[in-house]
Amino acid sequence: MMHGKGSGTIRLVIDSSLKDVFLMGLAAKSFCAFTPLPKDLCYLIELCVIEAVTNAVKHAYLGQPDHEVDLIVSMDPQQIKFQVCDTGIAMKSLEEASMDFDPEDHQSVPEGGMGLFIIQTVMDDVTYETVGETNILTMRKLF
Amino acid sequence: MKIEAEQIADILVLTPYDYRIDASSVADFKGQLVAWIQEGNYRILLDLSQIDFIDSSGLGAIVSLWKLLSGKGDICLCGIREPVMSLFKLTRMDRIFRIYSSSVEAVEAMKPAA
Repeated sequence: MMHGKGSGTIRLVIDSSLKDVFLMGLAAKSFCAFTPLPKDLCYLIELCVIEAVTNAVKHAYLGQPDHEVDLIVSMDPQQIKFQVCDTGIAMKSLEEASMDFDPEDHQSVPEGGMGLFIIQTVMDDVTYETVGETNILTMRKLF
Repeated sequence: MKIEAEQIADILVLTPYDYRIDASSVADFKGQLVAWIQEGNYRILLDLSQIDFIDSSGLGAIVSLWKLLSGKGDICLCGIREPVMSLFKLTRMDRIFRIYSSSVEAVEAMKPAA
């Protein structure tokens, strides 16, 4: 059960520094604790937020500090929604990621590119858009 | 990142003590392990019992170490907490590593047959 009114939105901002990304993950996990989602899924949602914010720092801002990464969290009785916003370099498109590999073929096992796969697998809906100068990755998890 | 090392027979048991392996710490984590491998430690047990969180970059680093040892050694994992294990299962990486519940169990399994 959700506590309180069960609906609301909050906006969190960090500098585009990898050492601060974990703060967004901790916040996401805390919000999930107020939802009906099971604990193991809350961990994976924290992971999705970490992956999305890390992508913004590494790819949109090319690892450079002194830029803002926003996390907007909205909750209502049906879902929790996370929006990761940056004003850096936009992704070309949001393609469906896959994790096809042969465990017997060592070279086929990926070392990177897993973040988007994790996000698309865990979340119920994932979209990406650029509005003005702001890139917005939206991730929804239904209850 | 603090990583404790213990030699048991020909197995080097490495235990990271930093709670998280993520994009901010992965270069340090991987650098230390690569250094141990380059010193000739080809049989490694990575004890993840102190780790609360691993992201895809941390997982990717462990995969790269597994590839680095391919053909000349082995890396096994132990002590993975249930939430972290969900990442291994989600990405199917639980199928490529030998994973044990504890370091005692892992060392016993990694010892050559008498």
